[in-house]
Amino acid sequence: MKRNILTAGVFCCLLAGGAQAEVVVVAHAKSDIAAVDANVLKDLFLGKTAKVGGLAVRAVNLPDSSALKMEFDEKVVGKDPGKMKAYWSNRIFTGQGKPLDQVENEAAMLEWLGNNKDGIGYMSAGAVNNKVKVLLTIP
Amino acid sequence: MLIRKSLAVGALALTLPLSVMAASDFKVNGFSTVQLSATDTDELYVQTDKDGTFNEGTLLGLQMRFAPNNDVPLSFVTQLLSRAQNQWAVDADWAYINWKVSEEFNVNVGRVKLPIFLISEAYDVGITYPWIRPPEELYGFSNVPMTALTGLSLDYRKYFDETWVRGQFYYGRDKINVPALGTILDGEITHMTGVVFSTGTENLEVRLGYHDVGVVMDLASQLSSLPAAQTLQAQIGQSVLEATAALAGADAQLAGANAQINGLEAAMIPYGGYAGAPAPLQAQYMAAVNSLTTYGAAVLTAGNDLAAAGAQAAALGQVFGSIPSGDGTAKFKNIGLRYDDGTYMLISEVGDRQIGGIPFPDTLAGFVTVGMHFGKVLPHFTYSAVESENSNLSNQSQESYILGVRYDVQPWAALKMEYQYTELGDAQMRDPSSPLVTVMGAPVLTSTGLFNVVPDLTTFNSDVPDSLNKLSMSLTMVF
Repeated sequence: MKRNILTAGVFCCLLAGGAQAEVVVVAHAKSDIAAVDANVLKDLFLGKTAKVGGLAVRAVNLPDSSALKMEFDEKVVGKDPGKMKAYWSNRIFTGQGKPLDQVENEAAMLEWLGNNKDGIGYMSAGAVNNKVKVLLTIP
Repeated sequence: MLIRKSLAVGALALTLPLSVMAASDFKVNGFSTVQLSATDTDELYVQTDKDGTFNEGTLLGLQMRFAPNNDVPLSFVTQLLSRAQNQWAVDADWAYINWKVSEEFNVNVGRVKLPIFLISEAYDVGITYPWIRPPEELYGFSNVPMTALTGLSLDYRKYFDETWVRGQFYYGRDKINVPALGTILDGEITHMTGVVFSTGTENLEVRLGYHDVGVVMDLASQLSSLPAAQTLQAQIGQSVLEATAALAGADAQLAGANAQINGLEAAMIPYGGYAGAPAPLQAQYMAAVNSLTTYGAAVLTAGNDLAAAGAQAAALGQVFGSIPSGDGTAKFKNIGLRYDDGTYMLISEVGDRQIGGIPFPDTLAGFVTVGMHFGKVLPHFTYSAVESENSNLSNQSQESYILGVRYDVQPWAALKMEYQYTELGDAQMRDPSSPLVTVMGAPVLTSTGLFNVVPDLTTFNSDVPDSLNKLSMSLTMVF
């Protein structure tokens, strides 16, 4: 029964355009962070905090044009690309904190997180390798 | 000077050793707006007239943030701004060092942007608000002529689960340029301090602000050196010269006629006087006596003209002399509210300006904007007004109705169109003790609204249309 629902779900997603991959939140493989709460994650990507469980972290983004970023923003932050851009424009151009770090694509994300122990980012579940560990899976 | 400063920041980045660069962080963001606007009047309104212009809001901004080292909580921030209305001269609107003391607390030192109203800090970044430009009555330079200062600002912001609170404080000094009476008046801000408290949720922001300014301005000499004042002074000077010359001429002619009469009287003595004189001599004598009356009248007229021109010169001197110069104060109190739940949008703000010591009006200005999102399209309506009070020199009262639409072409670009109808406020009574009233007999001060017009310098009144229609469109972007 459960399997049927999952299959139906996957099928739905495929029908809906096939791009809806599972998004995972990842950090450096040896990161001190064990897990991250969805609310903290939202604040992290809105620049409202730069800490997870008291540890200083650096959130890293994919480019605005990335479908994965749009999906992440929609599901985790709850903002569409227009609102996200307006929010960050207001923040950046009124001097309230600096923009997040950004990498070109998932491969660069893997490399960046592999080099930065305080990094936290996201990618599609299929892209994960041994350089990073998964903190949260976003369905 | 400021450009040099920001270039220095850039040069600093370039000369840092590679090892430092590796751990450092340099980010560039930009924004730009192209705005076309036109009114239905010949007089310049803000920056626009009947011929249309790109000058009012067209600009390009570049913001750079350089953090030398991830372990040190310092960043260098500059924002270079280039406006069409300033012939694209590059201006460092911001140039400061940011010290992130904690997650909640930031200190900025250098040239900092002033958080006067809700949208003041993002005034040039069109993507962050619905209108083409924030309502001119409150946000215009005629109300608040300074946008940034050299000094420091403190910013404390704390997020809770659903709400946040923020406190801001700044202190600084700088030079200012005040657009008033159709010209730009220079002054110096001896101090400007402000405190702002705001709170809200994700959809709501409520904001209270208080700002205190000390300013020094030499207005009388600046106003009297205006081209219009120079022309007027030259005209009065010319009248004095002409009347003096006319008086001298008439005097000479009168003296000549007198001499002629004396000569003729002497010539008539051998005939025993006028009665016994031959007819031609009699006629000559009568003509000379008549001319005496004419020349006498001319002397009188020239004398009156000279007196009038002299009185005008004295009055003008008195008018300019009556304009207070020196120390002034300005206090701004404002309250603002912004709400946007993704469907309904409301922005409203009221600001009170109290002036002391310098002859600018106190103002009460404010607006309310309502809008509704239909996907990427946001139609909105604004009522905005400013009321000038307690001034003998300028009255800028007016109210505007603005109907606009914003269309988000891309997450990073918006197209906006607006129609604005503006009506000027009523004339006001001047302070009866003002020399403008006692000397020139002009008890009433007409409103010039935000028309950029040089008034008649003897009465400080001007003749402008009492309403206008304005159409604008803009494309605004961030990158």
